[in-house]
Amino acid sequence: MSASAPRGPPDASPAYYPGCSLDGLGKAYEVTAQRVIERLGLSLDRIVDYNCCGATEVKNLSQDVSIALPARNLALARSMGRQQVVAACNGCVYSLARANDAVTDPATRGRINATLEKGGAPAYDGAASVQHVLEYIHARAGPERVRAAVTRPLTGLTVAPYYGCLYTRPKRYTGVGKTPGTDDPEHPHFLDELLEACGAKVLTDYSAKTICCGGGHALSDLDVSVAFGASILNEAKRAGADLVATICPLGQINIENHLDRIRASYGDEVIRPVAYFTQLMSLAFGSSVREARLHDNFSRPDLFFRARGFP
Amino acid sequence: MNPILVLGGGPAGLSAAAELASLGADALLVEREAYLGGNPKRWHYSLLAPDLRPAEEILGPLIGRVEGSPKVERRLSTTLTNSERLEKGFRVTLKTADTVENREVSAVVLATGFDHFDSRRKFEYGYGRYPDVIDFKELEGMIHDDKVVRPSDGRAPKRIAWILCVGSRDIQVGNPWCCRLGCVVSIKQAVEIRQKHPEIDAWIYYMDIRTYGLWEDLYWKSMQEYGIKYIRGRIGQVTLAEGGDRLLATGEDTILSRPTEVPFDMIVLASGMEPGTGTKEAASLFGLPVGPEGFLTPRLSDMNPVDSGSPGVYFAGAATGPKAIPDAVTEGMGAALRAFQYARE
Amino acid sequence: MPIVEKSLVEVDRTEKLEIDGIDVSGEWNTFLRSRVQAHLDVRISDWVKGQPQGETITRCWQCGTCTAGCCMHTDYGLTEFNPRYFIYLAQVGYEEELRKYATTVWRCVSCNKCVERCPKGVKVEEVIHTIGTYLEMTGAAPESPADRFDRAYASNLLERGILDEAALFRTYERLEGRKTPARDLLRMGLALLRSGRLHTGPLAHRTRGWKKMGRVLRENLEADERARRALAVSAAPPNGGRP
Ligand code: SF4
Ligand code: SF4
Ligand code: SF4
Repeated sequence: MSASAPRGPPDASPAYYPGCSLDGLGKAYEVTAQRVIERLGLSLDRIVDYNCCGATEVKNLSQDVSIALPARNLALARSMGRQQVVAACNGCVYSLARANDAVTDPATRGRINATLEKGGAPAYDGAASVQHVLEYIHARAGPERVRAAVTRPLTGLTVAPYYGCLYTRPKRYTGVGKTPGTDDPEHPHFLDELLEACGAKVLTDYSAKTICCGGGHALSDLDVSVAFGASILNEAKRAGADLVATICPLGQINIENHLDRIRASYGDEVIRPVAYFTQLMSLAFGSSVREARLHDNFSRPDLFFRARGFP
Repeated sequence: MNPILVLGGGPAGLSAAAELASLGADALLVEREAYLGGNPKRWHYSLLAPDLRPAEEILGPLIGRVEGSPKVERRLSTTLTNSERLEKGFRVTLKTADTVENREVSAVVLATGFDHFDSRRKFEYGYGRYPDVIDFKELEGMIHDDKVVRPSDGRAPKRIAWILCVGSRDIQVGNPWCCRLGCVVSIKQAVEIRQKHPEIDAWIYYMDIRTYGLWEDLYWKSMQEYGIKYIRGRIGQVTLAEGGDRLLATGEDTILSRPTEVPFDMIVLASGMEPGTGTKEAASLFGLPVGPEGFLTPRLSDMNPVDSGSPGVYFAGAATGPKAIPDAVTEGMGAALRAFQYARE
Repeated sequence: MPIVEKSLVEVDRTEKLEIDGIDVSGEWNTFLRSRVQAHLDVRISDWVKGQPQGETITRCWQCGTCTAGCCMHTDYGLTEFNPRYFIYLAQVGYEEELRKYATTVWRCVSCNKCVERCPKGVKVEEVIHTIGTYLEMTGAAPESPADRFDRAYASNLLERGILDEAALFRTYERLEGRKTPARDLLRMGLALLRSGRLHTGPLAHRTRGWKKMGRVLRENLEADERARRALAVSAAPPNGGRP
C-alpha cells in the first residue's frame, strides 16, 4: 500500500500546501481555488511557514535534501493534526508523494528526521497522504455538487483539458490505481467531468492531455519547452478547442511564457487562451472576469470572455 | 471414513476427485460456479498447448469420470463459508443461494485455482476503452467458435498484435511473477489463426519468450511454418491511430533502438494469472500462509508440492502459482493420494 | 557478449589525425575502432548504483517500456535520447559509446512517464540524471544548462525557504550569458506587478525561522556533492574507458 493512501476517516479540513508557485506566479490559481472550494462548502487549512518542495530540481543534487524539503511540510501538516495534504501544483504533489514513499524506509526516515530536528522542524511520522486539489474537489464535491453550484454555465465553450505529465503519476508514489476513487493515470477524466458540470463542452479525447509541458527545462532547454508548449496548443487547435484549461502552474506558466516564441515559430493560429480550471469554475459560479483574475494570464482569457459577454 | 473435500472444480480438482474415487474414497466436490471445468470451461479455451488438442478432449473425460462416479458427490454453485478443525478432519459449512449445511470431512484438497488478471488495471493498454483491444481469454472463445472478428465493427482483422506479460512481471500492477503460459498460449493462438486464416498477419511483441521445456518446439514452428513475427520490446501504450479506426501500438524496437508505432486492427493482451478469489478465501478459512504474491505456499515446495504443512490439507493446481493443465492434473492426483493416506491413517 | 547495434561509423564526424607519424585522417571509426565490444566494465554501473538516485539501475532488464513512452524520444522526436540504451551502456560499462551522448543525456525533462510505467520499478528518470552526473563528474560532459539551473534553483530556494522566481530568472540568465530583451522583461514585470505577483529582492517571501534549516540543508547539499565528486574520480576507468 502506498504511503500516500489515506489511512483513516478524511479530515474535515485537510491541510493545504500552497508551494512557491501559488504564492507567486500562480496567484490567480490560489485565489480562484479558494473561492471554488468555499462555494462548494469545503475547506482547507493553509500550512503556515511552509517551504518550497524542491520540485524536480533539488533531487538531482542531493537525495536527502530533496526529501527533507517536502518532509518538513508534511511534518507541519501532521503537527496541525491533519493526515491529508492537498496541493494544487502537479510538481508539489509529486515531491510530497515522493518524499512520502522515501520515508517508508525506516533508515531514510531516521536520517531525514535527524536533519529536520537539527534545522528546528518537527519530525515526520510518514502518516500524511497527498492529493491534488482537482482530486480533492472531485472526491469531496464531485460533478453533481458542482453542477448545482453553477449560476452562469459555460455553454458554448469548447475546452481542451490539459492535465500535464505528473498528475497522479508516478503511481508508485501517489498510490493511484490502488486506492478506489482515484483518477486514471493514462486517461484522466476528473477535470473533464468538473468542467462538463460547469456547462462547457470538454474534448475528452484531447491528445495532449498528459504530455509534458517541458516546464522543468523552461529556461535551460528553450527548444524543448517551446516545442511542448506549442504542441499543447496545436493539439487543442486541431481538436477545435476555444481554450485550454490547466491544473498545474508549471504548465500554465510554461505555455504562457513562451507565447511569443510559439507564435513566431508555429504561427498565430495555434494560440489559444490558457486558464486554470478554477478560474473557469469561478466564472461558472458567478465570479466576474476580474474576480476570476483572468487578466493575470498572459494569454489574456479576460479579453476572450469579455468578447463573449461575460461581465 | 468421512468424505474428502475437494474445493474447486477445475482441472486440478476434477483430477483429485476422480483419483479419490478410483482409490475407493468418497469425494465431496465443491464448486462455486454452476458448472465443472474451471477457467478453461469458463472462457471456452480452444486448443490446448502444446499438442494443440481441443480443450474438450481433455476436460470432457475428466468431467465424465467425476460425473459418472457414485463416489463423487458434486455440489455446484456452492461456497465454503466456515471450517473448524476436528480431532480428525474438519467440520465445514457449505452455502448455496438458499441453503446452509454443515458437513464433516476427513481431509481437504484445495484446488481453488487462479483468476485472469483484470487488464483494465494496465491503464496504458486501453482495455475496456478501445473495443478492439481484447484479452487473450476472449480470443480463445473467438477461435473456438471460428469467429475472429473485431468487436467494434464485426470485420475480420488483417493484422493482429499480441502483447505479452500483461499484468505479469510488472511491479506497477503488483504482480512480479511470470505467468508461465502467456507466451505459449499467445503463440498457439497465432498459430491457430494462421492455420485457418493465412491472410491475417500475426505479430508478437515480447520481452522474453518463455516456452520452457518441450514447448519450445511450438515457438520454432510458429516462425518456420506459420510465419509469425516477433518484435523485441514491451509496448508502452496503445492509442487510437489517426482516423480512429485502428489501434496504434507504441513501443521501442529494442533491437533497432528506434521508436515503433504500428497500426493494428486488433490487439490481444496476454493477461497473467492471479491467485483466485477462492484461493484467498481458502487461505483465511484454513489459516494457511500465503506468499508475497498471494498464492498458497506448500511447506516444502520442492519435496512435496501438494502438502500444505497443516495436517489433512493438501494443494493442487494453480492455487500455489501459475500452472499448466497437465501439471494441475498431476498435482490433483498427488494431492488425492496424500489426502487418502491421511484420512485412512 | 553484447553487440551494440548502432553503426560505429560516424560519417558526419571527420578528423585530421596523425598517430605515430602516420596520417589516419578520415571519417571516425571506419577502421580505427574495432566493431567488437571487448571491454566489459562494472564500474559505471557500480558508481550509479552507489548513488541513492541511481540505486535501481541494476533492476533494468532492457524491455524498452521507458523509451517507448519517453517524451524526449517519442514526442519531441530526439531518437538518440534513449533511456533504455543509456542504462544499457552504463550497465556494460561501454564508456566510449556513452560519451557520444554526453550532450544528450541531460535533456531529460523529468516528466516521469518512465517511472510511472517501468515494470521493474527502475526510477528511470533519476537513474538517467545520475548517469548524466557521472559523465559530468568524470569530465566527459560539460556542466549542462540543466545542471546550472538545478544549482541556481537550489541555492535560491535554500536562501529563504521560498523561491524568489524573478531573482532565479535573473541569476540564470546571467549564468547562461543570455539577455532577455529589456522590453520583454519590462512587459512581464509590469504584468506581474499589476496582479501583485512579483515578490522579489527585499519583497521576497520567506519561511519564518528558516535560517537554521537553510544552513543545515545547505551543508547537506554541499557534503553530498563533495562525496559524489570523490567517488566519481575513483570510478573513472583509466584511459577513458578505451578497450
Ligand atoms: S509466460 Fe511469457 S507472457 Fe507470461 S509472464 Fe512469462 S514471459 Fe510474460
Ligand atoms: S522500462 Fe525499466 S526495465 Fe524497461 S528498459 Fe526502461 S528502465 Fe529498463
Ligand atoms: S523523465 Fe526523462 S527519461 Fe523519463 S520519460 Fe521523461 S524525458 Fe524520458
